Amino acid sequence: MTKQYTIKNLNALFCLFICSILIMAFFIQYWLMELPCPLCLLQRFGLLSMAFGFALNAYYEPKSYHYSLAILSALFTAAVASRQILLHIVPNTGNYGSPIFGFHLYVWSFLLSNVSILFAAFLLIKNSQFNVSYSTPPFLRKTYFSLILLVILLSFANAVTTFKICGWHACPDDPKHYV
Amino acid sequence: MLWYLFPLQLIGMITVFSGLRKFGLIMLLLSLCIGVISFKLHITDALLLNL
Repeated sequence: MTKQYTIKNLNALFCLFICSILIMAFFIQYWLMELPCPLCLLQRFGLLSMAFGFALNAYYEPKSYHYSLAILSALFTAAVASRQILLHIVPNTGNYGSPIFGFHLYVWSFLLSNVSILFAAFLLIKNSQFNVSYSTPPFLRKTYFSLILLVILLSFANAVTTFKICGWHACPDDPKHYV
Repeated sequence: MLWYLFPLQLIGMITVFSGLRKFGLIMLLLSLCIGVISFKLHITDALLLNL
């Protein structure tokens, strides 16, 4: 049983890792009052899609289209994050937000999306995962279910806060307060 | 104009979870495409402002 669920558990762990980063971003938003810029919101959007792809692999069975959702979202996040890195790459052109462990959040986002692509590529090596019929025990099923609920809840929370920052209009480049 | 992205994603996620898995995944990919368009518009706006 342990071997059978290794891929599912790895997917679930990685999804939890992405969710913990998104929760940390919320913590920074509300505790340090650093509101997300439009590019930050796009990165959050990509990270959530990525997390959902991995969560689907855990809750249902691993499928190629779940992986493709995660990889496409990771590529999108990497593109947005690299754009933000390039905006601030020239010395003395400023930056956005406070650094965490020496890097700004958009640099972490870029690294995370690349790690996700690598992670998905390594998981895809094991072809037998698509041919196994899984009969998930109830305690694991509940864990995977709560993971999916966490991703949906985070998406809902992001929808609410984005509306609070932007309203019906274009999002400000450097938001200082809620609408 | 990013307020519509997360609700679209949320609808996609709920659709996947409610059983219409492939339809929901298409919706999620569609929301990702809209994200790409928003990103493209953001870059174009920035380029136009710089010109």
